[in-house]
Amino acid sequence: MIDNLVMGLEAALSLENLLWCFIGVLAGTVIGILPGLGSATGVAILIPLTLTLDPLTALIMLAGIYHGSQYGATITAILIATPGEASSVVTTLDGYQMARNGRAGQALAISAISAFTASIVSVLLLFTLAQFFADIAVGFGPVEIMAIMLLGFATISMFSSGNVLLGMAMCAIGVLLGTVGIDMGTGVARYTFGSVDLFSGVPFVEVMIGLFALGEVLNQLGQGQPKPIRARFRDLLLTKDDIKRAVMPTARGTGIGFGLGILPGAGSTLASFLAYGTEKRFSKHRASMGKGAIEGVAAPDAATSAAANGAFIPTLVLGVPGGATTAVLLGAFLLYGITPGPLLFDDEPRLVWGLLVSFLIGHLLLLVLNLPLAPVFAQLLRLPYSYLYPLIIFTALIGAFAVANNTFSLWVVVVFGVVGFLMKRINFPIAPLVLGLVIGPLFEKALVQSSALGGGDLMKVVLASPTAVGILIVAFLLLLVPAVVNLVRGRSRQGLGIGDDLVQTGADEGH
Amino acid sequence: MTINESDSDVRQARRSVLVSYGVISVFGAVGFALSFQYEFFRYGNQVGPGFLPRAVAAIIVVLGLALMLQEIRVGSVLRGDSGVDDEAGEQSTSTRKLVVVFGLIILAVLLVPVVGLIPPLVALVAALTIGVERKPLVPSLILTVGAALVAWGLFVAVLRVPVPMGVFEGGLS
Repeated sequence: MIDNLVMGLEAALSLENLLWCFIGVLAGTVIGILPGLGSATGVAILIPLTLTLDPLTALIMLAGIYHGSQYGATITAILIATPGEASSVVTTLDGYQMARNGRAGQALAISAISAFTASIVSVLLLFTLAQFFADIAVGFGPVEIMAIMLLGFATISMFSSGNVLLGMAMCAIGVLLGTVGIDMGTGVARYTFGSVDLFSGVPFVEVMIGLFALGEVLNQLGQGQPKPIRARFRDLLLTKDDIKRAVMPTARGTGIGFGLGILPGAGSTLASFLAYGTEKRFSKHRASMGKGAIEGVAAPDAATSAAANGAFIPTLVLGVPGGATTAVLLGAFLLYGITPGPLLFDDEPRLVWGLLVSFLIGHLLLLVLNLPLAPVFAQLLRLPYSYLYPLIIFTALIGAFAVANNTFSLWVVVVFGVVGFLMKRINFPIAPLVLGLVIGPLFEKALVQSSALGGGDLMKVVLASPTAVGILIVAFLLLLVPAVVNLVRGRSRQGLGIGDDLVQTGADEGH
Repeated sequence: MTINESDSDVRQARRSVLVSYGVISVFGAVGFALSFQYEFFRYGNQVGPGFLPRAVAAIIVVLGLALMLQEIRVGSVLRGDSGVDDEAGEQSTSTRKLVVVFGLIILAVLLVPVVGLIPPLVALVAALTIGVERKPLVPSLILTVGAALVAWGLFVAVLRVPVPMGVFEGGLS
């Protein structure tokens, strides 16, 4: 391992590679800030610029964009409740509340630190145990992936803020929306009503922009605009207590993120949701989750960072992309004449280890760039909302258009902006809907494949997989244990969403 | 949503919740009805294109009805994603402003195929800051021009996203 590390350092630490890594993380951060321009799009758009570079240099820059965009997406999630990527949706829940409480600097800083920490740990795991984790990934077939997705759905119980039925309904709506479009297995066009624009489905990035960016703006305008946050510069700095509280969530998030990241298709979105849900269940400060708890930022951002690195295991070792962005990166590999797979580590050791070392360097650069800038970014909130919201609308619409170069995207943003506004007005949770929309198609794909494997007998294939059965048991317990515990304790109406009074409370009962 | 304590306000607020739950059920019912166009099972009892839509739509209907029942009988907990209401800076004529802003957004989107992407969006920023918010002219114009330059620079010059130019297509490059 030391030899590989030294080889990687020698390869990555050239002036040219460091420069392009810096350009990559900077470009990635900017791309992540713009709603609609996710890391996959950013990497895809900038691949042509890298064709004249050495393959290692090109991949280092693209990986920098990948990691930079994860952080950029978090910046807007925290400052203006506009997640730049699906994986930063849950960061909005507590991050935005922290910003409204005058703690935007702390939220941004802990996001950078937890992501960096998670990256170090996950890259070291990559270094030492890449093949071992690849073997685990190989063992995860459609049945196990389907079980993981059901586990993801079961985390709804953690997100439902006291109303599991409503959370499940929102998630189911998301799943149903995710079935719109051409079914990949059969080519049947579902719920498209003859519209060509809907053939590729309801575009979830535009839905997210509508629900969160435009929905939040309309909600704020309807309520009366929020006052600017005039926190002092020094109040935006992290305290020892903040760091102490973030340690365990970062550790848990890293474990969850890396574990899910190595599974092809599971993705960083599911990892971030699961990490957040875990904190909501197990954190010492779970009662303050959703109100601006630092754990609610540290855990999902650590999970996203670890999952992003973990996704390189199936990509590099098996040649199977771990997610959308790694799928694009896989294309880049092939463009440079490199074939990922089991032989890559033997055939191109300098490239592989150099790339892995560049992950560390990239995250270090992100930390160095963004930690001092966190309080500066937070000053954006001093801008009167009257100036801020037109910019948010402008950025949201232009970013949405950039996703598919189609006016249809703008209408999706508008429609879901109204939906998001109405949901916020009546306090319906949005996160479960996004979760359903994102993992619904992945779940259906795994379901169809499992059904085919079992020749139509789904139960047979599920029961034949102890891993899948184990995961399903965990999912089942996640959903039912809180309700059973409350029932036993005599608090039979909590958790199912039944309140003791009709006046909405702001206090979490910490169930 | 903050619910006032007078009975009629509470009843009206809860009515909107009940209606929302009803909308959820109707959404599920429509999805369920339309799903019969697609095969539930394919050959050999394998999952077909109609399986998940029909199953999920049925679940939505059931959950919607359960929520309505829950709301009618004892009321339900509604805390959104974070369970915290944002502090409002002012409570006056917000609905009118909301309608105006939304109307301007619709107008801007309608104009995109006609005059291109950037002009109507830039005009929207100007209309919102100067017209709706009545902010001072100079900072509003700086903001508007700045937004236009950043959008053009980033999307057109750097990322080369093909931006529609509407009637100006071919005239500017």
